[in-house]
Parts: sequence; structure tokens; C-alpha cells
Amino acid sequence: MEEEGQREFAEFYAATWGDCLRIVMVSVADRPLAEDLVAEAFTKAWASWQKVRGLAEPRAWVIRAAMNARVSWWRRHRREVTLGSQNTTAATSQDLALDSSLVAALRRLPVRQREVIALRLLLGLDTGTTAEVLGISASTVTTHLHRAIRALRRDIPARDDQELTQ
Amino acid sequence: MNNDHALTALKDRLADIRDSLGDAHPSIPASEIIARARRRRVRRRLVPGLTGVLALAAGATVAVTAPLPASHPASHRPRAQLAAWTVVQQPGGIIHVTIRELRDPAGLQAALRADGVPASVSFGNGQQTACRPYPGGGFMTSANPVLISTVFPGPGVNIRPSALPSGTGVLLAFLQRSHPQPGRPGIGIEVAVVQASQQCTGN
Repeated sequence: MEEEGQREFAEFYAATWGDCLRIVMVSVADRPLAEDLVAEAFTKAWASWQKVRGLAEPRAWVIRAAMNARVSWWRRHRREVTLGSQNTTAATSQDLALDSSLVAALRRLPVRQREVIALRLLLGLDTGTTAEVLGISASTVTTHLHRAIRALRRDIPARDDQELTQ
Repeated sequence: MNNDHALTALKDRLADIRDSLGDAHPSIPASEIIARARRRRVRRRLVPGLTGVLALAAGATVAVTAPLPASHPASHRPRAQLAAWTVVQQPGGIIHVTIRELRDPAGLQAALRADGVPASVSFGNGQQTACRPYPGGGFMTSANPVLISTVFPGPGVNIRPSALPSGTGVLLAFLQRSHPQPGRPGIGIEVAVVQASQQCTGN
């Protein structure tokens, strides 16, 4: 039973890690941090695997957990064990060739709006599923999404805004 | 302004960003994720008395449980899992001290000094009046030479000798503390960077 669960989790991890990492990276624009957050989220996912495996969108659970993770056990652990290496400087959005103005604007959004953007637009969930994952109503998801878009249009520099307002 | 167009444009741009990140593979195998979750679960069972960290001007205190007494220390490799304390050299030159029982401070001090850490160690309420704080030896920076570790590989202290400023050492004070759960022992840890001297750190 335990072995079966491990195998199942390992398959889920291998199949979804990349998606989860990319989506979290868009939110945090820092690959080492994103990897930490995703690792932390998968650790939590394994700890609650009986529940997570039964969800309609386990990926969404992981992404949400990663985005909500604060300075976690994993982060502290990593810092402590790598003190000697001195090479933990975070990569920036420019290093990652991200659309930095958009990423910067995303990072300024409230957590809930970022969650909605991540799940609705990056993961491609529909409004109902997003609402279920976040434990809020569909209309609240729509409200958060509209507010997020409005904020992004306001925050992104003019040349970017042109595209968003066409 | 059209919200649908804005939504579509934003979605496309986000998809471009996401896809531009390319294929990525986990840097940590699933087995390690599972193992870490298990270790965390076990640690929560074994160390229910972990009550948090209180940062002070010249140190910090943390309460940990002292599970079981046992044998004496080991340098570099622990000889017994349940020794009163262990000193283990980790990759990167970090020295991790784990305390389980307030016993043989002189032995711990000698073990640390043998590992190149100018150290002053006390157990109980003994005052280390011979030690003088090192100006600027505060905490909470990534290059901190001494950190209280509540997580890995167990409650204790991590020391990075190479990060100690010249002419300094480490003061470690372990104190008996009350445990949140009645009947269980607790240990408080205070750490500080101090000025090295014959009287304080032995050099």
C-alpha cells in the first residue's frame, strides 16, 4: 500500500513538477526560490497524499501551496546547509529572460489575485475549478481576475499596456 | 477597452513566459521529497517542545527537548545517536552541534576547539564572565558564522568557522528551560560571537 502510494506520488511529481515550477517562477521571478517553494509544496503534498491524490486538480493544490509558502522549513534548511557555498544568489527575472515588467506587476498583486491568475490563466483551469481549489465562489474568482487585470493594465508600462488594452 | 481582449492578451503573454522557461526536471528526486516529509513528521513527534526562537541583542534562545541521555560525544561522526551531545562536521565546513542532555560541557568545548572552533561552552547557569562580545557579532545574516538550528539535522547549533572574523570565537550557553509539556526536559540555547581570548575561548 505504502509502496503503491510512493510510486503514484513519484509519477505525479515527475509529471507535474515542471508545470508547477514554471507557474511559480512566473509569480516569484526567482528560480532558486521557486524551486524551494515547489519542493516545499510537494513535501506537503506527500504528507497529505491521501487527500491530494483524490483532488480533481492536484497540480493546482501544489501550486497554491507553493505560492502560499512563506520562509519555510525548506528555505531555512537550504540556507543553513549551503552557508559554505556562498553561491545562493537568486536569479532575477532578467536572468531568466522573463517578461520582467509583467512579472514585476504580477508580484505586486495581492496573493489571492496572483493565485487566480496562476490557476486561471497559467494553469488554464476554468472559473468553477479555480473557485473550488481556492475555496471561494465563482463570482469571487471573476472579481479577483478582473481586479488583477485592471491592476496589471495600470502597472505595466505604456508599451506593454498597449497590447493589453487593444 | 475590452476585458476579453485584455484577458486574451494577458493569457498569451503569460503563456509565452511560462513556455519560454522550457523543460525543467526536478533537481530533487521524489524519494528525497518523501524522505524529507517523513523526517519532518518524525521530528514533530520527537521534538514537540520546540517553542520558537527568541532573538536577543547578543544571542538567541530556543527551547528543545532533550530526548534521552546516553554516551559521550564524537567529533566528525556521531558514535551514538543518543549521545548527550554530538559534534558533526558537515559538507562545506559547517559544524553542527546537537544537544540532548546538559552533560560534559568541557568535553564539548574541547571537541569544538579540536575542530578549529575557538569556543566557550557552558551548561546550566554558569556565567562566562571572561568572554567579551564581539562588536557587530549580531545574527540573522546569511553569512552568519553561528546559527541556532531548529530543523536540520536536529535542534542545535550550526557553526561555520570560516565565517568567524579574525580574533573571534563562539560562545555557547545551554540552559535548562521549562518545557511546554509538564514532566519533560527542555534546553535553551544562547549563542554569540565573542572576542577570542585565552580565558574565554582558549586562544
